[in-house]
Amino acid sequence: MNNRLRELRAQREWSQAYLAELLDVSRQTVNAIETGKYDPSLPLAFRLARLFEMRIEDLFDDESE
Amino acid sequence: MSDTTLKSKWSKRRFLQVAGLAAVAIGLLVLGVWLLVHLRSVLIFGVVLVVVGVVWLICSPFTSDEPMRTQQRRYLREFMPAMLAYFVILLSVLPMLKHVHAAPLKALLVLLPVVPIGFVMRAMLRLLLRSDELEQKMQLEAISIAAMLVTLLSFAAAFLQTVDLLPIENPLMLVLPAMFGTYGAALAWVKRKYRGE
Repeated sequence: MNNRLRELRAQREWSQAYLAELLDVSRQTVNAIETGKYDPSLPLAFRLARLFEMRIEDLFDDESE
Repeated sequence: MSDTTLKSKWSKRRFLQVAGLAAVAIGLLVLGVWLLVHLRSVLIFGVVLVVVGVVWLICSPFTSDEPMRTQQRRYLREFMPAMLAYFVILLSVLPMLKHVHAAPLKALLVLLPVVPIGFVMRAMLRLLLRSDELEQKMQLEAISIAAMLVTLLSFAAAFLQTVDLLPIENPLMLVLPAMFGTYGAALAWVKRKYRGE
């Protein structure tokens, strides 16, 4: 699944480590989501969407559609 | 917002460097004590501490320099004293066994080192339950690989033992270290799978 996480994080000048701390996850988890190696669970996806103040579907894009 | 809060925390690398130096220093001190008392258990304890310390120092450059998360620091606070207690109890109990003949007391003494290992497992379980969702997924994969591999090897060893072809005196003793070892190796392999560019 594609996502805009890296782009949105860069806009805010946040490091992966800082975003990880905000989400209470490891930096590797943020990295794996950004690079598409791991798709987050719904609760984590909602936390991300709330943090960036947008809807989940604006943050994540199901490439199969 | 900034990352300054992250910089004051300990990283795995820093922990291994400090703990490695401490283990070598204490190990050398224990070996110095051995020169005075000539007890085999003191010698083993000193050598184990020096070897563990050197291994940590060698491994430290290859570990993460990122700050450890709260649950990782809590794990170390629970894991380290339990492992230290294990070695102290093990090396205190072994020399006593020769002098104890009553079966119940012997059983009690020989089972004492299992208690701190129980605390080690409790620390590992608590870390697993406090980990985030990707870490839990990676740990589940690593534990599955380790369990299957060790079970398969135990099964093969049991067959060899039935025909007296297993050159190991007490193969059950190897199950726990084999589980920990293969789990660690499998976790390192699984982590690579989720590592981005």
